[in-house]
Amino acid sequence: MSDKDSAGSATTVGGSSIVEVRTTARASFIPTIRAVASDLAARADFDLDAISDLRMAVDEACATLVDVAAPGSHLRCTFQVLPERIQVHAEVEATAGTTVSTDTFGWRVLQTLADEVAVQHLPGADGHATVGIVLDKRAGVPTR
Amino acid sequence: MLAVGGEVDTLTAPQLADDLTQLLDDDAAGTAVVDLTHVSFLASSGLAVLIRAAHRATDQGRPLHLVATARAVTRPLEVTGSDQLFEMHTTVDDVLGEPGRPSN
Repeated sequence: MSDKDSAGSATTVGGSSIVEVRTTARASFIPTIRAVASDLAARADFDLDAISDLRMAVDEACATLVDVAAPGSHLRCTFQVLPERIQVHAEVEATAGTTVSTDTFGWRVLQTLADEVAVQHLPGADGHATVGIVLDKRAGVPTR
Repeated sequence: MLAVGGEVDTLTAPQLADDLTQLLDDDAAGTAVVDLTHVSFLASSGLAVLIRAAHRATDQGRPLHLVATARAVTRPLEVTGSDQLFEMHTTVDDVLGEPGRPSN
């Protein structure tokens, strides 16, 4: 698929495939990122509900992060395609002390859509921090 | 009736919110229908807007009818359980064809 992903890069590490997309942290680029998510899930033989769920989960994670991103910073979204599941790691640079609110409707939806989801806060230098969301989606319909 | 197309996400949800407010406030008694047949993506922000409109319609003493067939719309509604808040239909005729109902 390396001929298709001009928006990012694809490498294979230890049997899994990694695709990374980096954009300016702006809402107008999120449609591109969720399209990549949807495409990867389809190629990984996810069922149709799981493809829809991943697309929506990635959209929600990215929208949440773009909201807290420092002006002019980047949104980096890494997809690791593993057997039967895709792990997504999205992150932005934010002002130190910025947190992602997890008591929102959007976060509850994200928890419903993904099999696993977590927020990561990593303090950085110069009053900045990295805020990330890691989510995991299995190829089949989750049993809930 | 309000017909919506394209992608409903954080960029477009505010427009949908405005249109729904207009739909529900212009005629507070008629059959309120939102045709989502041509929506290709529904984000949680769009879902939240629809849910708020459903509550508004309930306050007015009527249901909010949604027309949707695409998985991009039905899956988010079902997986979050919010489909329970609406009268779901697969075609506009399903709603407007009801005997005794005016087609607005």
